[in-house]
Amino acid sequence: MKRRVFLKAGLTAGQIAIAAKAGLLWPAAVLATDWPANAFLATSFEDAVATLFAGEPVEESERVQLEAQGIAENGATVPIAVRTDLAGPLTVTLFSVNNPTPAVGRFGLSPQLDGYFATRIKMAKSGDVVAVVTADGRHYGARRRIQVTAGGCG
Amino acid sequence: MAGKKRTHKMRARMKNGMAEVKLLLQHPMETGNRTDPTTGLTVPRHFIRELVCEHNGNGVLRTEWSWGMARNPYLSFHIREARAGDRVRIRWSDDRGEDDAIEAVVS
Repeated sequence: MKRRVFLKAGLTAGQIAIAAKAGLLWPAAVLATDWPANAFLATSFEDAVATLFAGEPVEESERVQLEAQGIAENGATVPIAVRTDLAGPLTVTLFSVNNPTPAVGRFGLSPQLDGYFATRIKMAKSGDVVAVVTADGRHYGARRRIQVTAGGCG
Repeated sequence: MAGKKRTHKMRARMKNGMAEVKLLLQHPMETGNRTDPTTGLTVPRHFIRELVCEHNGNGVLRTEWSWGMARNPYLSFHIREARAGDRVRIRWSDDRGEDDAIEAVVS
């Protein structure tokens, strides 16, 4: 399988400490406190990725599928779905690259789920939506360009 | 929003041997970037931070969200090895410490 490096970014010591806590616990802890504040507050896609994945590379992979319409009429609510055949437990992280804060959400899926979910995100303007699936310590990404006709972060 | 009743919707039904869960919550999911058109003031950030799903008491999904999730969040997913009559419970909490839960029986 052809793999090209999808994104690789540097990392500060503080970001490593935060990323080290990013692992999931099963069964789900009761609304635990490792909500990734630094990643969600990051104002660039590269910083958000570096914070979440500890500077580890994200490879583009055909095993991750990002399903969405190419044109979103309303950026305030853009339907997307992620599908993967990678074995769980999985962590799926969603980004809208051109949002003021690109990291949108992190979804921890136990092996009891089938590697699929659908949701709706906001997009401030046209740009790429990225899904990164973390499985067995490796990061697999998919990217899709969506044209937004009315922005949703105003 | 004070005094206004929020209605959340959830459904879980068997489809292709799995429980298909669909959830629609009512929440403003304010980004903190929006200006109120009448007052001219910035509408403060207000969003669901965390959400978990339990199937018969076992954690199957755990999410951490930012304000980049759409208003009135929608989520759909599939639980393997489920059967009619199973209990699916979803709990969440927002950045102001408000929490809530909704439960459905798989049909």
